[in-house]
Amino acid sequence: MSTSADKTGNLRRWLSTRNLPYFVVVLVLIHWALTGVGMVREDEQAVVLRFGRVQRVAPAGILFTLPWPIDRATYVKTTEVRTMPVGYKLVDAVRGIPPTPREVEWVSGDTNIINLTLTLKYSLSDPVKYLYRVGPGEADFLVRRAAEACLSRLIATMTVDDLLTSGQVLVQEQTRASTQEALDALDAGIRLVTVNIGRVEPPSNVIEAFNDVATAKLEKARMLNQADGYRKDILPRARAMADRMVQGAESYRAATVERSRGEASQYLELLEEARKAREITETRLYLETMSRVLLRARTIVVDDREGTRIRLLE
Amino acid sequence: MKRTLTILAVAALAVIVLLSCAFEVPETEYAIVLLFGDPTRIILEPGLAWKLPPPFETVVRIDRRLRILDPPENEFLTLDKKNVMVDAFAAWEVEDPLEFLVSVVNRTTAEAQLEDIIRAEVGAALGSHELSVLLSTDPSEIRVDEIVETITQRAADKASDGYGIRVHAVRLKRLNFPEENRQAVFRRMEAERERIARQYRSEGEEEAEKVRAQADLEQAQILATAERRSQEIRGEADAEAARIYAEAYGQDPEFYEFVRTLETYEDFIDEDATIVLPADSRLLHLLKEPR
Repeated sequence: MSTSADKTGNLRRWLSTRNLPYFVVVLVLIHWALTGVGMVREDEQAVVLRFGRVQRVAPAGILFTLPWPIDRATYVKTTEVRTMPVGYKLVDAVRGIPPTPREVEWVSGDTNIINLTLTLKYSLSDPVKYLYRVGPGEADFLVRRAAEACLSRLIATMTVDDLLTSGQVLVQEQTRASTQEALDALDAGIRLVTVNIGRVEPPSNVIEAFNDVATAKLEKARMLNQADGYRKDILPRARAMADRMVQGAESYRAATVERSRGEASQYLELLEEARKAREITETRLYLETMSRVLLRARTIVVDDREGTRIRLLE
Repeated sequence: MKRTLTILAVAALAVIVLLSCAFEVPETEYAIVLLFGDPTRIILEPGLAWKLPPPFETVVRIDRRLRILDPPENEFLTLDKKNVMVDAFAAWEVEDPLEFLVSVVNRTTAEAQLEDIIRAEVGAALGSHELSVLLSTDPSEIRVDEIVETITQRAADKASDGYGIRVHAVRLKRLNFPEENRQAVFRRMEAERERIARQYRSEGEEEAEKVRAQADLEQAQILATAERRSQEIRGEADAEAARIYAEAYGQDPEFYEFVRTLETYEDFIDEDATIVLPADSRLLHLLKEPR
């Protein structure tokens, strides 16, 4: 039959006795044990060190280790994709300050100077190597240097025209591959995710000459277009005219043949008639013609062979 | 009671001594144990390590991580006497902690030494090659990898011998020209672009002219073909008509001659013609002597 007040009273009595030091020791021990419990976030991994030596890499979740100072854990964001500029500075880009020539200029294989920027995206493939092989600040520095060396070497084999046009995909691909190779050779624990070309352009003091080439290219296309227009204009006309000429000849053929047929059949009818009564037909034809002819012309009739008497018929 | 205190004091002292004997070697470091300032042991593996307490043994730690040395760019002369600005960097780490400690003491002096080595090696390598092995559109001429490998090898040998440093890679990260040469490059680039632009324009004219000429030719061909075709058709028509006439007129040549003669009269005798007929002509004989 004891109340809660009795219990509290009991506890206080128990604490106030010589048991207190034990209680403190227990509390301290619990607190000490709790230094071995941690929380690894979703985007992190934890590297567990025992007396400074890497013991294991723990995934996201609750982490139990031996208490300090035996074990310690370092948390690293492994899924995070980091950005590293090449050929410019992020701070400058944010403020809108253009990169300096020394930052942005590269020399192509045909000894042209060209401005080119890249943006690297990378993440950690091995947190242990990233943390202890190279060290956080130095590793990021290394990514940029390695990429610059690979890019520089690649550009030195390309022509400026390739770089300005079709070669950009190649630059991204090759730089990514060879930079990754260089990082792997140094065991950096870094994985290059993407390499993106920012801008590629000739330096500002020669850009007009480059633009003029682009203009000339357009002009060439325009000239060819115009010539093609000329061709497309005159050829249909020529074909139409040719068609008209052939059609004209065809209608001449029709007219000529039909006329000849008509005349022939007219003649044949006459001949038919003449076959029936040759003499009469001939006389009739002769007289008909004469009447028409003499009606038209001036006719002089000479009575004798010497032509002394002339009588007009009209 | 006094006895208990003594025991406690001895135990505490033992713990303190024990703690000063243990030390941690992290992943990022090598440790060198010195006995009265004399190196006795080198600890290469990270973890817990032991030594004698302070007055006897002390520990020197040396960073074992990979370092990137990026000295400022330098002007070099190639074999074909061309000035180039080359920016190289090197990745290095401590290979032999003891040698490193004895010869260079710390990273700053190490890097100063390494910088000198690299500058000398890059200079030597560039001085024995023409610029075209670094810059060329012909892949067979490029020998950058080979040159860089030589530089790395030679720098590594020097650094390894004297300083206990391991050079992993020396790479050329930038190549450019000194200011005055740079301006010359720009002028050349400009001239080159002008030439290309001119070429485009004259090519445009040339090709356009070709297209026009071709079109003119095709036009002439089309018209000539049509001309020939229509001549053929007319010829055929005339032949056809002639055949039809011949077939009809050939049936009785005498009668045809008669009819045709009459038609001829009609054709050539017009209002201006004057016909003189003898009174005894066939046409007029009835006039003289009616039957």
